[in-house]
This record gives sequence, C-alpha cells and structure tokens, in this order.
Amino acid sequence: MDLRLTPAQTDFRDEIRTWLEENVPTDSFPPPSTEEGFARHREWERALHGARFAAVHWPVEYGGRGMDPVSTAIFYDEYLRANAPARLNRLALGLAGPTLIELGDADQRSRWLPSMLTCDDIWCQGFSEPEAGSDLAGLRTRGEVSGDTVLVNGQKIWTSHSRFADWIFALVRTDPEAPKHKGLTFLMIDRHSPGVEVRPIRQMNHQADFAELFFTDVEVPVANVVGGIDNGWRVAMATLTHERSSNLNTAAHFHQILGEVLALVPESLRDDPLVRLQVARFHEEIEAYRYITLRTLSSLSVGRQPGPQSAMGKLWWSEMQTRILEFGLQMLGERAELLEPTPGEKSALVQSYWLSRASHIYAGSNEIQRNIISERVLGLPKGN
Amino acid sequence: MHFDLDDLQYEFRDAVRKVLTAELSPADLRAIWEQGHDYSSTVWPHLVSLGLPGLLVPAAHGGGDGAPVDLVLLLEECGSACLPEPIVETALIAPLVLSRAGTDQHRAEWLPRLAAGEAIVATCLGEDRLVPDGARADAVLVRQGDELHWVPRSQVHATPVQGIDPSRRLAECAFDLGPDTLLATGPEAVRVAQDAGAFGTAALLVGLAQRLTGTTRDYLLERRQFGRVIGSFQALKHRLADVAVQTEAARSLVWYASYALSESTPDATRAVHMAKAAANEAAFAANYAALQLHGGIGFTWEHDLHFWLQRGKALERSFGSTTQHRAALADEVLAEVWR
Repeated sequence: MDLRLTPAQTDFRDEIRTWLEENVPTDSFPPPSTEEGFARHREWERALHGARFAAVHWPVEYGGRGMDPVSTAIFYDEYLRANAPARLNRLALGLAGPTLIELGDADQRSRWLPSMLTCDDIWCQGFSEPEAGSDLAGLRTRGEVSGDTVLVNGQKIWTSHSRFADWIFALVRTDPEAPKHKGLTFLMIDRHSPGVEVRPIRQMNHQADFAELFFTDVEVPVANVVGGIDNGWRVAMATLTHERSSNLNTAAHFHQILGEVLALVPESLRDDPLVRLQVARFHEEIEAYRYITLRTLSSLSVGRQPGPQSAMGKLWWSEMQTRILEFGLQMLGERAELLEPTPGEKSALVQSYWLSRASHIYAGSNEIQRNIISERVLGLPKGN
Repeated sequence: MHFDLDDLQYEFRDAVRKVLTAELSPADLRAIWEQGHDYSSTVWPHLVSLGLPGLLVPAAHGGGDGAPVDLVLLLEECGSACLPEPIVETALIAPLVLSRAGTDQHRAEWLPRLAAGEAIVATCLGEDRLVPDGARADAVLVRQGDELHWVPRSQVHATPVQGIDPSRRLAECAFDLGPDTLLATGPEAVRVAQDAGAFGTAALLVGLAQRLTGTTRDYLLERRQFGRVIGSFQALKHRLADVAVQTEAARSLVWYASYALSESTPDATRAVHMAKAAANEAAFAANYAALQLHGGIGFTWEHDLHFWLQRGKALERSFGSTTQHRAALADEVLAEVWR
C-alpha cells in the first residue's frame, strides 16, 4: 500500500494542473442544453482535445493517453479542483468509445472515435424502454436484418443529452424467437436518420433532462452493428463495466456538494451537536467512498479482479448524496420550497436534490444493485 | 499510488486464518466461555509461532519490525474468529506506546517479552476501571488524566467480575500509580494509545461483521420456509446486502487508517475516528441483521451466534463509540470550515 503518486503520476498531475490553471474559463457557461451553452461547451471540449485531455483513459493510438484507472481518477480530481466546465460528450468518451475500442472493428473505430474527441458528434444511449427498465433484457425495439440493412422500429426512453445528439448506441432485438438475453444486437444509429423522433420528457422537477426516442422504419446499415448480430448482450455488459471507471462522481465532487451545503448552515446551528454529528457522518461517508473507489481502481490498474466493493459504489454514492442534499434543504428551511431559494443568486440545490432522487433509479436501480450484491457477492439465490 | 495490501500481507492473513480455523472452533469458544476466569489459552502459542503478537516490536528488541498496515488483515481474522485474547492491547497498543514513550529500561524489559509473546497486556484508557483481562495481564497500560502509566501485575489490584461475554474476563481494577509507573505525560502519548486502540478494534469489528454476514448467509441458504430457502426472499437478501456494503465501506476506512498510522500522516487521528465510527456502524448493522435473520434459533444459548453478537456489542463500545468519534471528527473538520 502506497498512496504517494509515482513520479510519472506526479508529472501527469502537474501537467493537468498547470494546463487547467491557464485554460479554465473564468466565467460560467450557460447550460449545455441551450444553443449558446452547447457551443461554449463544445469549444472547451476542443481545447481539451487539443491538449490531449479529452479521453485520457483511451489508448494513445486512438487519441488518449493510455492512462490506467488510478491515473484517470487523478485527472478527474484535478478537473474538479479547477472547477472546469461539465463534460459534454460523456456517453461517447466514457461508454461508446471504450466499447468500440474493445469490441468494434477497425473501420468502426476510425469512423467514430475521432469525432467523439472533437465533439463533432455527440452520443446518447438507447437501452431503456417503457417496458424494459430494470429488466433490460426484456427490451422490444425490433431490428429486422435484411441484406445490408437493419430496419429498426420501437421506442427508447430516459435518453439523456438527446437534444444535440448525433448518434445513438442502442440495443435492439434482432431475433424475437431466441431466449431474451440472446437475440439482441448492439447498433449505432444516426440520430438524423429518417424515422427517428425525439420527444423531451417534462420532469416532476420542472426540467427536461431526458427524452424519449421513437423509431419508425429506420434503416441502419449492418456495418453499424458492433460485436456481431445477436451478440448485443455481451457488448452491452462490456459497455456497462466502463461506467465505473469513467465518471465524475468522485470524492472531490461530493466534498464540493458538502461544502455548498455547509455554507447554508446558519450561525445559530453551528454548535448544535446533532448538526455536527450529521456533518461528521457525511464526511466519513465521502471518505469511505474515496477508499472504496480507490480499492477498485487499484485492482483494475494492476489487472486484478476487483473485490466485492466494486459492486457497491453506485449504491453508496447515490444514497449518500441524497442524504447530504436533504440536510441542505433542511438548512434552507421554508425557503427550500422556492425554485430559486437564495434571493438574487440562483441555487441549484433543490434541482440537485431531485436529480439525486433520480439517481436511485437510473444506472441500475438501487434495488437491482442490492440484488447484484446479494447474489454475486453473498451468493444468495436469484428470486423467482 | 496503490491502495491494497500486498501479497505477503495476504499470505500472512491466510496463515493466521488457517491456524484460527483449526485451533478456535465454535466448540472451543463454547468451552472458553464456560471456563470464564479459569481460562488457559491454547491458541496463543500458535499465534506466537506465527509471530503475530510481536509483529510490531522493533527488530532491535527481537520483534517483526512491522507497522499497523502489516497487522490490519490479521486483526480482521482475529475479529472473525472471536479471538478471546487482548490482541489489540498486546500486539498493537503496547509496542506502539513503548516504542514512542517510556524509558530505555521499559523498552529493554518489556519489548523482548512482547516480541516473544511472553507477556499479555491490558489497557485502561477510559474513566471506568473495568478492564478486560485485568486480572490476567502481565501489565496494564493506564491513563490517569494526561498521564500514561505502565503498571506491572504486582501493582494491579484486580477483582474478577462477570461480564456478558465471559471470554473477555472483566476485572474491576485499582492501580498503585507512582513515579515508578509513569510512562509519559501529555496528550501526545495518550493519543497514540487511543488511536491504536480505536484502529485495532475497528479492524476486529470489520472481521467480526463479515463473519456475522457469512454465518447469516449460510443460514439463509439452509433454512426453508414456505417451501423454499429463505435466502431467496428479496427482503432478506437486501437486508444482508446493506450489511455487506457497510462492512466494505468500513474496511476501506480501516485500511486507510492502517496506512495513516504507519506513515504518521497528519490526518492519522482523523482517519482513526472515521474508521472506528464506520466499523461500529457496520458491526451494529451486522449484529441486528444476524439475529433477526436467524430468527428464534439465534436467541438460544445452544446456537453459537451469540458469541459474535456479545463480542460485537462490547467492541462497539470499546475505544470510543460512534458518537464520540463523530463528535471528535466534527470538531476537526468543522474547525477548517466555519472558523
């Protein structure tokens, strides 16, 4: 066990830190869901790519730095520390790209990877369906293979980043006769194809972060199939394993949220023993998350199978984050009811809170996470 | 940067596990519970032959020259086995305190004995004078205000009393303290002892929580109701999954605390507060889930579960409760934020 940075990691950290200090914009961008916000985020992403920081975890030959999971985490710690803008093409750089690098063919890699890095193409994910949420393999969107074309009909839901998306990586059912985990195909669909329609979902928190996608006789070339027809489940599982090593949900991120919440605690409550015990618990939980994650990243970085804790990160951070934000709303008191609670200054706390509630549902609901832990870690039987 | 124990540390862990599995079965524990204060240890010589008790003693005094990070997995095993020995006091607190405080004479007299596993140490760091193994220990480390005293058995007046876990052999103690027993004065030496005790107990609790989880998992796979094994019921699976998550969270913090203490990092005390609070919480959750999911059989004397339930509750309160550690952590963390 050695938590000091190696000389190479120190150099890398210093390089990122210096570059970010010189380049992070001083003003904050409008949200990427707006025209102006999107343009400014894309401009920032291109600057990152120019310094070869767009996807440090990708191999060098595809425009990355070939960084192992620990060094990638060092990058994101610096990124958060510098208060740099939110990433624009997370699903391409974190999920679709690594999937292509692992299981795509040479043509597919040269066709899609470069425009992911430059954000000329923005990607979204087409997995969930109205009737296939936790039961992902029960999805029904059809893909009829005929000659060189897959004809897609069906519906996807809970697609994020869809407003400016150019491409969808999707799972479709190509063999309806096969058992449900077989007969699925992983397909790259051009969002601008005839027959693709996007409808934003108005959410209970007054926002629209997600959308529905409708496919009506959409023609997709067979060349857009990744990993072979009817082999989609395996490809999708490979995609999902990349989720854990490519996100911004780091301890630094949660300390930032806790810091914002602590600023809301009124003077009169700062010596309250109950408040102090709560805060200590939050601090302890964030640090536990830091070391849960670092254990997993350390194993992955030396090519070892990570321990049981690698199945636990999502459950831990999602519920912890909600507790912290809930506490923040309590500190705001009655003003927490306002959409913009702090007069004169827009606070995103109430929105963060409701989005954190969504995180108990998305990316494998927390009930599914508990099933996975009890079955794969504890060896208890599947229910019937 | 690498956050994992190394191959040698895992091999040592496996060796300790093997010995404890062979030498300390639940039937052995049951016999030890019945012996109470008449205990004579059969497992200790095996631990000595592995070099566990003397692992942290400096090589100059015949020990293993190890650090807390070398001990953490071994303590998890001791917790898992419900080891009826003051292992944290003897193998961790005593060598750390003697190496940093006291006189050369203290070190020359006691460290070789600790290295050879020939001395058992108890501690009395709180306000209460109720000391596990207080009547059996060769020396008791006593805190009196800001002073730490090293009290040999001849100056300990111990009255054995009955505890709910008879394998801790509690004794009400009084001590003849004087200049001859004084080891150190000042908060620093006291802090070394308290941090070591809280960290070591946290490691025991992680192992104990994992053992309770494993025992309960086995029972869920065996017990049938409504025509199926009860381990297939989601309510029970999810309850045990939550315990496993809390245990791994605690383990992660305990491992970090072992590193922080070994490297004497500036945040070592803070790391210990988090480790003990998290381990208490994990053991607490494991305790409740284990008894509840075992149902009535777990409430009987005849079933072995209660050895771990009683030990767990005792250790949750030893070397600082969750509330005490979180309050201290809050003082440290918030001093930077609000002042």
